[in-house]
Parts: sequence; structure tokens; C-alpha cells
Amino acid sequence: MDLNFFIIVFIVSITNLILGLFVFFRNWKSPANFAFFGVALSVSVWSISNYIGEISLGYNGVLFWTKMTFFGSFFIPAFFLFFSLCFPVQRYNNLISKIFIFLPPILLSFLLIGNTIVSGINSLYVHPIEPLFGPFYPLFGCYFITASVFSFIIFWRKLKIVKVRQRIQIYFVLAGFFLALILASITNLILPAFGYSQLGNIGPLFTIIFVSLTAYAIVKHHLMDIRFIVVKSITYFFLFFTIILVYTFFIFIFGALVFKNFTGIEAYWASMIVALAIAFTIQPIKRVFTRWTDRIFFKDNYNFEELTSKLNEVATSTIVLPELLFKFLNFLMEEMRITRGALILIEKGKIYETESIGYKQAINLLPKEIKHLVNDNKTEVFDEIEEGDFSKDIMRSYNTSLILHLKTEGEIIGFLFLGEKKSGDIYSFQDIRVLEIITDQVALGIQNAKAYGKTQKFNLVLKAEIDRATKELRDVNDRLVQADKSKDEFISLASHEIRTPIAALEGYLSMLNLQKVDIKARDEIAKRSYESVERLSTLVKDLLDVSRIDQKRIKLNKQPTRLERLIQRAMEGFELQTRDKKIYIKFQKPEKMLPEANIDPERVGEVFNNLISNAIKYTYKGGITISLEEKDNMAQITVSDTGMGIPKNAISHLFQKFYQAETASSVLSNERGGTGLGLYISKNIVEMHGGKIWVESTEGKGTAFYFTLPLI
Amino acid sequence: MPKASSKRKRILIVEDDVALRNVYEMRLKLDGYDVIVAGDGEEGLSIAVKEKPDLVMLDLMMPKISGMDVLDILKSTPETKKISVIILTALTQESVKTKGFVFGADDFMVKSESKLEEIVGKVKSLLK
Repeated sequence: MDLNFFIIVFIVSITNLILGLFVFFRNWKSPANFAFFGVALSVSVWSISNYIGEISLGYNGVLFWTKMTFFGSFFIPAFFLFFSLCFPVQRYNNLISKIFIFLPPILLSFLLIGNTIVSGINSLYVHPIEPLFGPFYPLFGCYFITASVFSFIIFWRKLKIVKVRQRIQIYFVLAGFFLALILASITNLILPAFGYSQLGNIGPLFTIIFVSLTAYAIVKHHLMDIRFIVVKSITYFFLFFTIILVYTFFIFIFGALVFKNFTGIEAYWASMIVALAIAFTIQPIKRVFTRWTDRIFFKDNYNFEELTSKLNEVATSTIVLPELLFKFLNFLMEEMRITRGALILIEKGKIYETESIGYKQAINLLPKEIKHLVNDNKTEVFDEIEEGDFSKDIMRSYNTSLILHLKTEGEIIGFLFLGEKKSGDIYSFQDIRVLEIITDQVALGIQNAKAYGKTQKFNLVLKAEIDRATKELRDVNDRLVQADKSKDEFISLASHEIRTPIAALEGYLSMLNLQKVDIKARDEIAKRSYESVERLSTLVKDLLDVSRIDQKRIKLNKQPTRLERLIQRAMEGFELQTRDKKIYIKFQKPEKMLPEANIDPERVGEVFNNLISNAIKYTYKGGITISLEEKDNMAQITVSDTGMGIPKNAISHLFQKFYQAETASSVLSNERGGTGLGLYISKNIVEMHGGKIWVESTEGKGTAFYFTLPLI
Repeated sequence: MPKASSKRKRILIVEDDVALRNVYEMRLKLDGYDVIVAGDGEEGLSIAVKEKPDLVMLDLMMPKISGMDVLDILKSTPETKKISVIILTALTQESVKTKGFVFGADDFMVKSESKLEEIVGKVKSLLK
């Protein structure tokens, strides 16, 4: 055999084997990588066996290696079919499909041991070797075609369900396959048909195209942005083409026109000048080509310097954190044409603030996810992370292609999550470098805004706190002043109220010593003294009540009570007074007896006494009517009189402590001299029972007090 | 002892507290004075103008018209100018006392500091 064939086989086997092993060891847990390794290995086995068969001597040796060639080729479609199930996403990969895939080649291999597929060799001296086919040989052909067709169907269906990046990966695989197939067909099928069989030996070489493109598709890496490579190649192609053209042109000019005899020293000078010209022009020319190609191929590309200067503008445009986050994101996504973006700020292992654009779900990182990302402390590129890594799971669950860390002074203050690019391209090495530089700037801006926000917030909190404390102090002070004032008022009024009956009492008692006081006068003095003492004791009792009410120390002794009876008993106490004043007092009983009331009879009795005595005090003709009725499950009592009435301006003060209406004072009202506490106490007693008290009055016509009490 | 009713001296008590009014009234009647009472300033003023008593015992803190105003009016009206006025009040401030004298009060007594007999003594001396 010729050396060329050996070299080709050697290259094919070694290259395929190395690529297979490279992919396999890159991630040997991944079924796709394993399947690919299987394909590469089978191709190598096929290729090597083919070669050894050709150079073997002796019938058995040739037959063995020919059979090995078949053995290798059984597994090529099998592993390729398996690969189609696993790559780029797994589908239908289960035990049954594995049996269906691998059972036929295993069975065929067993058949191969016998002579049913390959029965022998045509001739030891004809190259390439021509095997003699057994009866089961068509099975192999059927299997090969079926498996290939299935592989394509599977890839075809996957094209519709996978993402952009994965679709590109499938394209690579299919392109490699078809390219290899077409080229091999030309050299091994079409050309031999026209009598050129010499090229048949280079057929295996085309498997390299398929294997390497597939390998690339699997390990597709941001370091190898295919477009970038293509663009650079084109640029350099044009560059060299131009240089060669220019160089040739100059040599021609110098040779043909400037120097007649273009030899020796002149030729050296000319070459030197041209070389110098090229040396000086190569950079500008290259720049021109780069710009042209960039304009064509990287239409959506960004200019780094422009990007950073614009970013600075954004960073200095605002100091309000949420606004800044939004602006940063918006800027990045616009400039770099990214589908989604989110900034997640963390503090003490928890989310501090987030902003996202384009994400359908909120990125609420769990504490363990934050912890993992912080510990990882490196830019996370989805395509590069191996399956099973927690980072990959995080990125998958948040539909994110790239995670960058925001760092200031070595501390991670947050993350930048990015979705894929709008173009569907992967993030190139350059993209990631740029983004890393940008995130450092972003982090600094955020840190400033955060510090500002915290100071601001702290100021606000402090101000609010001070305001609150000040208000509280002021309120307390107001209350104290008020309390002090009312206490002073109370004491001065109380002492005045107490002093007057005492002065009266003192006066009467001193009169007893006078000679001129007769028996009749003594009786009068005794009676008046008694009245004063009576008034004094009422006053003291009322004052105690008021102080108990004010300190909320009154306890009600509630019991079921018949209001009718309570009212009648209260009225009895006033019979003498009304008779003296020649006014009536009557009780309008309800038509139907009311249920018992749940009240403290003693306290409510005080209310009746207060209201009735008030009514009597200000009534000079007519009389007092007390009525009782049921309204909304409450007992409503009315004490109305035909007295002088209460002026409108006095009504609102009526239930205040020590209040006595001015008109109440008249020489006609000989009984005047209440404590001004009765209504205040009554109101409180009624309200403690859950009732209400109010008054209606017409000056000159009369007054009606109403109050309600709870029934059982 | 009491003379003919026309010769009896008349005293008007203007006091809003019933008990006190009653004490003064009773005590002064015991000494044979003709006593009329009023419960507030307005009433007091109208009675004073109508009845022209010989002496008015005037409380200061009263509803409607204060004692000080009653005093001012009485002392600035020619017909009532000659009526003696004793201010009888619960107020102890010197300023009130001074004001009372400026308005023409004949005497000034603080209720809580004056025994009934002292008051009667003042009345008697003023009516001599």
C-alpha cells in the first residue's frame, strides 16, 4: 500500500480518537458525550481495520480485519442514533430504545463470527479488498439505512422544540454529516464510476469533518465564536490578497517600466522599497478591512469605549438606587442587545433590592442559592457549566444564560442575571470580558447609591423618630398641663363649694349663742343647719364619685333590676319637695312590662335622683313626667319637666364637671345650690352601662333628659 | 328693739349661694333689719334701684352681672350713690379689694375669713 493511504488512515484514526476522548473526558457522565465517543471510536475501528486489512498478508488475517471493518461500521449508525436521542437535549432515552438501538449491531456482530454476513475474500491480490457477502449481508444494509433515517427524523423533530443555541448545535452535526457524506460520495462513489478510483483512499478523511464539527457542537465554547473566526479569516484573506496584489503590481512597475534590466542590485532596492511600503501600510489597510467586515458581520455590535463612557453617564445621572438599577439594566440590554436582565442586590445573604427587565418571573433567589453563587465567586456561563452543577440548576430555573458578580472591594454585593442575546448568539469571550469590566463599574455606582439611600433613609427614620418623640412629649406635656389645670380647677372649685355650706353652718351655729334667738328661731336654725350638713355630705359624696370616675375606679354591681320599681322608689323620695313646690310628678308606665335591666340599681338610682332633683329645682309650675319605653332592645327613660329650660349655649356644657347654667341662679329658685357634678356623674354612670344620655330643651317651656340602659 | 317699719333700716343681700343668703338674712332679721335678697347681679341691681335700701351686701362672683359692675353702677348713679355697700366675697386678692374701694365700696370682707358676727358688726357700724 502507498504511504498516502497510511497517512490518511493514521490522521483519521488519531484525530477521531482524540476528539472522541476529548469530548468523553470533558463530561463522561453525559450520555451525549458518551454516544459521541462511541461514534468516534467506531469510526476509528472501522478506519484502522480497513487499513490493516489492506496491508495484511495471508487469507485469515485479511478476513479477520475485513470482519473488524464491518464490526466497526455496525456501531457507527448505532451510536449515531443513540447520539441523536441524547443531543442536544435528551428525548426518548430509555432502556427500550437502548435495546432497540444496540441489540441489532450486537446480533450482527454474532452473525459476523460465522460466515453469514461476510463469507470470504474475493482475492488477496486485488486492492481495495473485495469481501464476499453472506446471505444476511442485506440485514446490515437495512439496519444502516433504518438507523440513519431514524437519526435524521429525531434531529429534525428536535429542531422544532429546542432553543436557538441548541438548534445551531444540531445544524453543526447535520452539516458535518452531510458534508462528509457528499464529499465521500464524490470521491468514493461518483469519481470511481468515471474511472477515477485513486481518490477512494481519502474517503475516510471526510469523517474528520463530521467528527470535528460534531465535537465542536458538543463542546461549543464561548472561546470559539464561529462568526468571529470566520470574520477574522475573511479579513486576513482580503488583507493578504491585497498585499500580494499590491506587491506584484509594484514589482511589475519597477521591473517593466523603471528598470529595463530588472536584475541584481536594482531588484533588491525595488523589493526593499515595496517591503517598506507594505510594512507601513499593512496596519491602516488591516484597520480598513476590519471596519468593513465588522460593519457587515457585527452590525449589532457595540463599541467598548463608547459603552463605558455611556455607562459613566448613566452612573452619574442619578443617585436613587431603584432608578439607577433600572437605568443600568436598560442601558446594558439596549447596548448589548440582550433579551432579559436582572440586577439582584444582596446583603447579609439575603436579597436587598432587585430590578428586572424582560423576565417573566421574579428572581427571588433562595438563601441557599445566594450562598452557592457567592461561594462560587466566578462568572457563570450556562453553556459551560456541567450538568448536575447547582449553578446550572439555578440558571435553568431562572432561565438565565449568564450570571456576573457585582463586587466592590472584594465583597459581593449582588448579581447581574442575563438572558440570551437577541441574536441568539452565545456570549463570546470578549462579551464576557466587557461585561465583567462593566459590572465592576455598575457595582461601584450601586454601592454609592446604596450608601446614599441608607443615609437618606436613616435621616428620614431619624427625623420621623424625633418628630414622633417630640409629639409624644408635647402630648404628654399637654396632658399633664391639662391634668394639672383641671386638678387645680377641681380643687379650687371643690374647696369653694365645700367652704360655702361650712360658712353657712358656722353662721347658724354662731347664732345659737345669741340671746335674742327664741325657740322658733332655734328650730329654724336647726333645720337650716341640717340642710347645710345634708348639702355638704352630698357634695362630698359627689366629689368622691367624680374622683373615682376620673380615675376609673368605679365598679358596677350589676344585677337584674325592674326599672319600674326603681323609678317609683326614686319618685317617693321627692314627694315632699314637689308638694311644697306645688308641682306634680308622675310616672308614665309602659303599656307592657319591660324585661329586667342588667344594671347597678344603686348607681342608676343616683341618676334618677340627679335628674329628678334637677327637674324639680328648675320647675315652678306644671311638673315632672317620667316615662319608660323599650327601644332597640334598650330601655329608654325620659325625665321631662315644664321648667325654665336651658339656654342653647349651655346645653353643650351641661354634662361637664361643676357646670351650672347661669339662668339656674335666681332668687326664685330657692333651692339652688347644686354641686354642678350631678349630670357629670350621671353621664358617666349611664355610659358605663353602655347607654347614652342626652337632653332636649326649649327655653321657657321645659327640658327633657333621655337616657338608655341595657335590658336582659 | 325694732322701731316702726318705715324707720327700719333696709338691707339688700345680693348673693348667689342660697345657704349663705339665708344665714345673713336670718341673722340680720334677728337684729330687726328689713332684709331683701337677690340671687344675682341683675336682680340685685334692679331691686337696689327700685327699693333704694340703706345698705347692700354685695357678692362679687355672680352670674349675669358681676358684683363689681353692680357696685360701679350704684356708685355712679346719683339716686343710689348714697347707698352703703359692703363687698362680701370669696376673692382674697388685694387687687380686687383695691378695685372695690376705687369704685366706692364702703367696706370689703372676705367670706372665709369673716365670722358672721364680724359681718353684722360692720353692717351695724355703717348703718349708724
